[in-house]
Parts: sequence; structure tokens; C-alpha cells
Amino acid sequence: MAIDPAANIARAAQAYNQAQQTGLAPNTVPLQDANPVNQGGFSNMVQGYLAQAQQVNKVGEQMSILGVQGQADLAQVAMAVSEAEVTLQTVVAIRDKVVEAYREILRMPM
Amino acid sequence: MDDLLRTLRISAAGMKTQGTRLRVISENIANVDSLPTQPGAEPYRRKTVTFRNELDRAIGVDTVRVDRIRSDQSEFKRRYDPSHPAAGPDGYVQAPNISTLVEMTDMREAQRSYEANLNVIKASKTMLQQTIGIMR
Repeated sequence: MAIDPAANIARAAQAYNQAQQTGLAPNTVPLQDANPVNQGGFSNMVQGYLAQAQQVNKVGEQMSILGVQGQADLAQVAMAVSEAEVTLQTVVAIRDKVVEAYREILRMPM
Repeated sequence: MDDLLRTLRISAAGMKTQGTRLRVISENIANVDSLPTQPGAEPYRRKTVTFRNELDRAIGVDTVRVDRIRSDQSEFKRRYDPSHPAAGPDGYVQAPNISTLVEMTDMREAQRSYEANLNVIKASKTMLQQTIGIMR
């Protein structure tokens, strides 16, 4: 079977479009919960996780400030900061994968 | 919320209650010599702390809470000290019903429970980070 570059590019672009429209299956990343984060495709899912990460980071900062003031429990501060750290690492990993996928497609020879 | 993240919250609650337990133990140990100030008054009474299970509806897990800090109703000890202002006619003063040995053992139990909760947090955090590592 001869390799047909044009057909391959067409197929790859079609697959990327499909991925964009259908989004990923649920429960593929640790922070998945029941809210409609991944309805409406890939970019919406990433936006949802960014919003979630922002919220968790805000809570983590507030808890750290309360901890420094002596009003919050040390265990709760440690827990909030750990949650923020894990969420941030998840978002960074997802972002890296998305950027890598986009770059891979850009790299296809014309 | 993910089960591993729920674990972090539960263990944090456990650590908080063990911290309260340790505070009560330290109060008891510090007041082991708190004799009554006047004749007829009572010395410091030993405190005990009880825990209860609580269902956290927001995230749907069974966490632990301090139930109540009660006073231990056992009998006071007696010390022979006729020179004390609160000594009775027989020279005995009522002393707090605290045994330092019991309190120290309690303290070690509280410490072990705290460390156990801490290890659970470490384990779940490691698992989460290893899962994220798969995506890299």
C-alpha cells in the first residue's frame, strides 16, 4: 500500500476535528467529578479545569494567610495547600499535553 | 470530589482531633499540682475528651469530631501537707485526680494516631502525584 501524504494529512485533520468536537471520555483525569466540565469538547474541558484550579488555588492562599495569622488549623492549611498543589500539577500536565498535540500536528510535512 | 482528595480532608480532621486530645492532655499534666486555694475548695479536676463520628454531607464522608470535653468524676487524691493553706484538720489536702503515667501513655497514643493520619495523607498525595506523572 503506497503512502499517500495528502490522504494522511486529511485523515489526521479529520481525527483532530473529531477529538475537538466529542471531547475526552469521563474519568480520564484525577479531578473529574460529576459536573459538566467536559461537555462541549476539548477546549471547554481545559477551561473548566483552569477555573477549578484557580478556585482551589484561591482557597489554598486564603488558608495559608489564616494559618500565618494563627486562626486556621495547621492540618487544614497543609491539606488546602496540598490540594492546590495537586490541582496545579494536573492543569500543567494537561496543558503540556494539549500544546504537544497541537505542535505535533503543526509539524506535519506539507 | 475525587476519593483521594477526600482522603486528605478526612485525615486532616483526624489530625485536628488528635491535636485537641493532646491539648487536653497537656492541660492535665500542667495542672497535676493545682491544689485547692482555700479549705473546702476543690482542686483541678482531670478532663477527658471524647470523639464522635460525623457525616460530612458536603463531600459525603465519615469524619471525626471532638464530641465533648468532660470532667473525670473519679475521686480526688489526697496529699499529706499540713503547711498548705487548704489543708484539712488531719493535714491532708485534696489533689487532682491525675496520674502522670496515664497522661504520658495517652500522649503517646495521640502522637501515634496523629502520625498514622499523617502517613495516610502522605500516601494519598504520593498516589495523586504519581497519577499526574503518567500524563507527563
